[in-house]
Amino acid sequence: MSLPLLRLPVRGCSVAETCLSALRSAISMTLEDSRRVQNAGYQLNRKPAKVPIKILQPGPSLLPKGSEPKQLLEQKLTSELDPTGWRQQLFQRSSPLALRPGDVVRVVFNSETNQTFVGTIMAIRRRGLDTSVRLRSEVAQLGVEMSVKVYSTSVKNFEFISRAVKKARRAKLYYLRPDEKKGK
Amino acid sequence: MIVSRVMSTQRGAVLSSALFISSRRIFSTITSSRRDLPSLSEFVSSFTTHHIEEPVTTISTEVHTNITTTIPIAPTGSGHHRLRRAELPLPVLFDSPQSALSRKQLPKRAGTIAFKRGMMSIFDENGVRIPVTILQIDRAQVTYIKTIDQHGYFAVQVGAGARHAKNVTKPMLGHFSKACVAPKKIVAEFRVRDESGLLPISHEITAHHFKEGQFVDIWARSKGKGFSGVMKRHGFSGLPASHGVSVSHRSAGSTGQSQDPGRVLKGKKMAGRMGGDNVTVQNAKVVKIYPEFGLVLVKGPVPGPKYTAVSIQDALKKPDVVE
Repeated sequence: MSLPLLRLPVRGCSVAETCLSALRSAISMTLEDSRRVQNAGYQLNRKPAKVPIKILQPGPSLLPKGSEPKQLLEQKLTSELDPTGWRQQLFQRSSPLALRPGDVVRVVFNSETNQTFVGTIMAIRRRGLDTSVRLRSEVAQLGVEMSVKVYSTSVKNFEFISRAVKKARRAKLYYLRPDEKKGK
Repeated sequence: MIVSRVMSTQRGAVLSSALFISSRRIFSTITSSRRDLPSLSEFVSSFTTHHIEEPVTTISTEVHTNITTTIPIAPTGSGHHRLRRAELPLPVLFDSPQSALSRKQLPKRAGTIAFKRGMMSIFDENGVRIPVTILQIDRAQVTYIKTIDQHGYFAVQVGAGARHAKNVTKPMLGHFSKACVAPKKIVAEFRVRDESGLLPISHEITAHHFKEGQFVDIWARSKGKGFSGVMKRHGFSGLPASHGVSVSHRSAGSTGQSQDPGRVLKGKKMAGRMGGDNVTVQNAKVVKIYPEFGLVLVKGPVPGPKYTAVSIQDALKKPDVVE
């Protein structure tokens, strides 16, 4: 049983008196304690009470629940890169203005000279923001193919020139490439 | 003259037999204060067993005050070196923790944990397509700080994500409670150069921590590939597909020489478990940040499967990021 701290001497009281009073209080505490033990009949538990762990609630996630960041970003970027929506009109299958394989198209680039490329659509690769179009053309008796990323900031415009003479029976017209065996 | 017979006790204390009578009184005073030494009865019994047959040749009547006893001192604590700056007046040795720490290349700022959320591509202002990995910084907070005085180095412990309290162990709940932070899904440490890199406990690290155009190091546990063959694991070419090759098109072929060394050398590349290792991607560029979603877009691929945690920190091999 630890003794309580001695209080500082109060003005008007002598040091001896305060010491005595402290001792008296100490003794009286011990007596009380011993009486408590006698009444209880067992040893008092001197362990400190268990402090319950304070559990904090987590804050909300910045992403809405059930959302995929990729979808969110694609929506955001599509609205930024294509505010008027002409790319979607040209390359979405269901759209009335949709381009089809076999159509002839002119691409205008965002260069100083507004460089262009005219060619037949060989393939349309639909991947959202990564959508690309493969165009084929004969430039000075040399076959040239070009893959153009539709949503790229370097692409200014797509101009529709003519529809396919006959509707292509497949989506990818790689057969337009000359036969290698037959030679030039 | 004392003919002293040196013997060793079970505890390794070296005492001379001729001093048995005189040292008993002295030893009793030592044992009362030291618990790692054998008790007096143990000491006496160990002594007498050795001396049953052999009589003592001479007994010295002097009491030797300067007994040379080598009492082994049990190592206190874990035994690791503790760096105490107050002890630095001594010249610092090359082979010491202090000099090793000063030589160590560490980033200035703390890093954070992010969750890999897939890949996509974005276009920059020149129209160039950049493949990016989407990293989500989800409720990342500082949970603990390590300092040179207490731990021997500077580090920031970060916790990210959220976990139900019922699924978190009590020790960890107490740890998070002490940091005034909700129970986190994952906790990782990030070493920093000095005190300036330390962050206050419960401080939230957001996507704002990184700047567009800065370089980062990303490390994570790579995707597991299971038990993979030698062609996938080590890039072996295998054997021809035809021309009489029987049943071993993807095998390693020979595993060594002949009679010398006459065994397969240690470290021989063979089939086995691949993946699931810690992989670091250095100098990945932060292409774009979206602080409203806590997203950081980083150029190129990042180790680990989707939805797992990765650690990001400023690149070691690039200049310090100035905030």
